[in-house]
Amino acid sequence: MSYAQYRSLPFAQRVETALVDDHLHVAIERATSKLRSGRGAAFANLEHAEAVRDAARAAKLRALARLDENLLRFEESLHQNGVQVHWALDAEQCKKIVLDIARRHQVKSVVKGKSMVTEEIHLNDALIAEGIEVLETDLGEYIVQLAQDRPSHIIMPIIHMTREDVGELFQKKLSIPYTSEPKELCAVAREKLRRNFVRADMGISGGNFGVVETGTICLVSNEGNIRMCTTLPRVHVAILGIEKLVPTLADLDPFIKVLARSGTGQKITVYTSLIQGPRKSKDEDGPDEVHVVLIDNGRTSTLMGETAEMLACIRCGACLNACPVYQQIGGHAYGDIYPGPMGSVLTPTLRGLAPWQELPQASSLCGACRDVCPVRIDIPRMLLHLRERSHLDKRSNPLWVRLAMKAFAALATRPRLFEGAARAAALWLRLQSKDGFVTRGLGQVRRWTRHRDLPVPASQTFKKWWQEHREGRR
Amino acid sequence: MTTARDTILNRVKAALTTARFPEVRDVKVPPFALEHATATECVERFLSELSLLGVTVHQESTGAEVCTRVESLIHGQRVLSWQPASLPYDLLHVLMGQEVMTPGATKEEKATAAIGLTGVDAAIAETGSLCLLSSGAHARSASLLPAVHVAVVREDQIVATMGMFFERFAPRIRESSCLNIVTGPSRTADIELTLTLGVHGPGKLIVVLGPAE
Amino acid sequence: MPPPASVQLFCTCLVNELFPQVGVAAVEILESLGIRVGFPRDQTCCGQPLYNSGFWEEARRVARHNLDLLSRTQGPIIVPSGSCADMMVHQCPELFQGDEKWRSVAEEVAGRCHELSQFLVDVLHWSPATAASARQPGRRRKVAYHPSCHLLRGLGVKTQPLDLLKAVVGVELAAVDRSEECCGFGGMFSVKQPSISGAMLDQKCTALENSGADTLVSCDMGCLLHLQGGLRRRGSKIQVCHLAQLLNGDTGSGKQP
Repeated sequence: MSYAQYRSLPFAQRVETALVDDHLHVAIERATSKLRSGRGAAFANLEHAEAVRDAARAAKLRALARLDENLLRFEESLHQNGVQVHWALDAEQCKKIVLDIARRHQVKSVVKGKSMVTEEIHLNDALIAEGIEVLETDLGEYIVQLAQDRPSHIIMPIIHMTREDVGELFQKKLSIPYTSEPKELCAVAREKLRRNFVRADMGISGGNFGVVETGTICLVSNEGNIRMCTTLPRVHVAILGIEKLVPTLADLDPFIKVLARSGTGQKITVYTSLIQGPRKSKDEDGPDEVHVVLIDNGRTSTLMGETAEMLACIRCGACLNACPVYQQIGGHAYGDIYPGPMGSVLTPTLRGLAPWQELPQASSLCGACRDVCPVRIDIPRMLLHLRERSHLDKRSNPLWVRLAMKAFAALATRPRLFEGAARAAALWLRLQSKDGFVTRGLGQVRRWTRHRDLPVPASQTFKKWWQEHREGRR
Repeated sequence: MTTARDTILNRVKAALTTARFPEVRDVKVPPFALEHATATECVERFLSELSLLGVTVHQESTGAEVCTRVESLIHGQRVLSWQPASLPYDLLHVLMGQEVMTPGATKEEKATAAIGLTGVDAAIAETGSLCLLSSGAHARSASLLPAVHVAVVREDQIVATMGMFFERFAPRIRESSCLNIVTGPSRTADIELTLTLGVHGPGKLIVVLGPAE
Repeated sequence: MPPPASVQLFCTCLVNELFPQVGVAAVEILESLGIRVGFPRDQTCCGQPLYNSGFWEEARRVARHNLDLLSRTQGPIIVPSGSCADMMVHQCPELFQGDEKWRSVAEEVAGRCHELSQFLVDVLHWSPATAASARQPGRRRKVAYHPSCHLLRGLGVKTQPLDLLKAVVGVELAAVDRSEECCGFGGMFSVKQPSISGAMLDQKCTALENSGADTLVSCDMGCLLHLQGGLRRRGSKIQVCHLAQLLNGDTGSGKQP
């Protein structure tokens, strides 16, 4: 099944398909277990780790608490650095801005660094439609592009592919002899992409952080492709979600300390680039023009009310690696660019809750995500708020659940009735049981018994026992 | 006509009236042990981080030995370099006898250089990082395009922590068009989390550490 | 500080209906320590299933019923369930955010709530070395402990159950692969997302079986209901019981009293 076909299935079917995909499970297990232990080891050797996390959280929330002022100051700082600033309400506007810049500079080819926000707005499609060649340069994203697939993890885009998958892909699409050796595959990619870096007219990147005080665009990478994209072409366009701001240069330190540790288990990524603006007149290299596009695309909706905290996310991916649900269903099942716990909040808040309400439901609320989040975002809290907002919609709670909840609430405020109803249910379960367990339930009970046995309720409730053995003993 | 800018700012203002930010502990991070380290301890830490990163290190006790070392590393190959006059020690003279790309060379030509040679503006002990500020004399591509990057570091350029680096160098960072903090050779683990070095940036990073000048 | 003279028991609806022996064990343990146990009989449910499904008006109604009941009592409130205790300690006050009166009632009650193992170790400093189980020196068990998510991450109770288990004579703790990972119960999640819940259950049961344990213990009957159901379906011989039952020397078959 192609990604497009898979994506068009309803959520429940995407889940069912993923659950029986052993290939997917092996791949995810291999990758996420490495990433989890990497993260653990990396944080164990970070001095003052908890204080550093608190500092990062505080800096992000400080920036968000006065986001309007900070956006203006950031723009001012960028202008002082000679950077051109654009504002985009949504995906359409952003694409239009980028295309305008491209047209003005007669851009024929673009090289792109890995950027989740550009995936969010499907930027590549818009450029290609205009006849502009766009090449993803991050190895994982390059492979995704070749395969006409979509990333399934925000840090490891091809976590769902084995080396054999990549070998076959390269053989087919690049006409090279088959090899599944990562070293050889990388060498092929390096050669191919190098030519593009050198001749590209425009480089596009996202931005990990935007420093308000200094107008700095901070970009981190391991491969060097982002440096290539932001150094060699004559125009660099950086697209930043409006939530990416941090107040000062000094604030970058705690983020640099926690980002790579959380995402890959490294102390720091190989390259941390702080871009201040276009090349100075005397510089030997660097782009002639740097543009920053500040994009909303649903971030202001996320900022409202209870989900504001979600904008503190620094896109490290730690929550994905910790999530037992992500483990089972993989990234594509979430249906959009942000999977796992962070995606379960972001996709509904950025795109709209109604069409995405299944995502906040697909969680056992175990809290593993909150534990590993470098900036301590309380994702379960926000999932619960989203559930509250959609609780009467049948896609969140089918009829039987809505009826059961209403009945439960009515009974649980009336102790005698509650007891009576529970005893009636107990009787009904006993009728379906054998040896004290129900193995094949009737009606909605089947939802339980499909995967596990159900013990029948005790013949005497605790309250009855108390009445007989303790009451009156006072 | 309301611009996108105005609309976004208005939306942000409106959202902030209801935005709920849970408790934030405004914490001051206690000083890191390394902030009180001696210069020698910093060098030791720098070296051990480099070793963990798989960076080849040559520690030389004199400027002359640094130059000899660099010469042998270049070994007659084409070099893409920072402006030779801006390099430390007497590397200017070393480069006179070598094939060095000129600033006027095209990107394609520069991409054929086998060795990139730079100094650093600072180095960070905490992480084994090299800090390179872009400027007229310090091309970005010297540390990016070639497969091998040779970085010459003076011991007195080593700063203990990242935080201290940002504090001390903030003015210079703001004046430059770009700062690159390089920590180890280029790498990826995208394919089955198998580590491969040298994807787009230099796959081999060599640090030649010399004495204070 | 001397131990309290009396406590209130919030037995939880699951214990009341399905696993009353857990409530019995809790009462007996507390009484053996000279503590008088009170039990407000009109208690029903903490409201967590309603809360987790987004039915917050209904959850408030149910919570108010129980809060009202409990606020008329004094002293510590013991809850033999990590998830119910977490609900009462953290989510309940959150539910009444914006309602000053009920919020303060919720906070007052929350301040008195303790999950059972937390109470036994942190407040009573109890070691079960003198418990009934110690009087069965021959009984050896290899015990897998399942830390339920709300207990572990919600309430931060990590070592207390282990301290209690380690002090029981004849108990050897089994190492379980990825022991802190969610079992997949998640309350209503188990029936609203049965396939995902089932897949998580499968993984957890495999890990439990591989640990070589003969007994599975937890502080949450929700998790144990789910895990026992899964283990039984796989034909596993692992006995399942609540920590209170093990401490009280009564593991039975983990079912009827």
